[in-house]
Amino acid sequence: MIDVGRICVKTAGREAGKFCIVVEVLEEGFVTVTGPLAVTHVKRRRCNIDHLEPTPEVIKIKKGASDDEIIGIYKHEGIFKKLGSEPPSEKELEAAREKERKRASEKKKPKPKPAEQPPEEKKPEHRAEKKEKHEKKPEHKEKAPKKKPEHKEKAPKKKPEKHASKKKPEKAPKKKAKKPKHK
Amino acid sequence: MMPRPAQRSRSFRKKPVNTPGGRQTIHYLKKGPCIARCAVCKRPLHGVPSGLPSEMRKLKKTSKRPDRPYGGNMCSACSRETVKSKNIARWEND
Repeated sequence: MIDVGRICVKTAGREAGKFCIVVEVLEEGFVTVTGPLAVTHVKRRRCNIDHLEPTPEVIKIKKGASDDEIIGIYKHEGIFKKLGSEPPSEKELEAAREKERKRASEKKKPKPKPAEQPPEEKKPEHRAEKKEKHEKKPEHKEKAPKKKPEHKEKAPKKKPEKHASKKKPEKAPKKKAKKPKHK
Repeated sequence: MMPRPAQRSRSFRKKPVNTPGGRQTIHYLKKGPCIARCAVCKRPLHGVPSGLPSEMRKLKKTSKRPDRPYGGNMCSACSRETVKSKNIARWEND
């Protein structure tokens, strides 16, 4: 059912509900697909057959056809009317071509690979790392002592004589007046 | 301790909290809304957070719903069925 040239509808993903055309059949239930970008905003990429719903429309296309060829065949066979859309203008075609060029150039750039370590040297490295960890501890202690900000030597505080004004004159010991004895 | 009159309403929830001093107190917090559900099958939706309006306003638009047709309204299974049924109905009429 799903062969090269079959128009389908995507059911899953960001592009769900949009028309696309099958360009190539891959192994294990996958398929490459474009609705040409300028027509339906579906990019040229791999898709799972379970996420496609076929329609009764089939078109004769070469395997791996480009978007421009597909749009020419669409105009020839009057498929834009069936899909309910208009053929794209030249601005939209050029914008779609630039997008595809950027995608193709980004794919060709080599991805930065992580530093590969040979698997045989892993075990001694673990032990060496443990030793390094132990060695690091005294290094921490050997750091230069932090310089504390020099505290300004303050003059010893002289406590103000709080009670200077309140000092009471020393009282002379009281002498009790002797009471006359009753006779 | 008795809660103050504004905190006695049923719209607050009580959360026990351990203090650094070793005691246990209660914090009174507002209750939030429940999880969003599919409009068709009523299963909970994935990718749609639930929170008070003051928290949801801080999030970006793309972090509140999936980037797919019927994103915050239907689950993925129900949205696929609607796309299929619409496609069949369209080509039957023609």
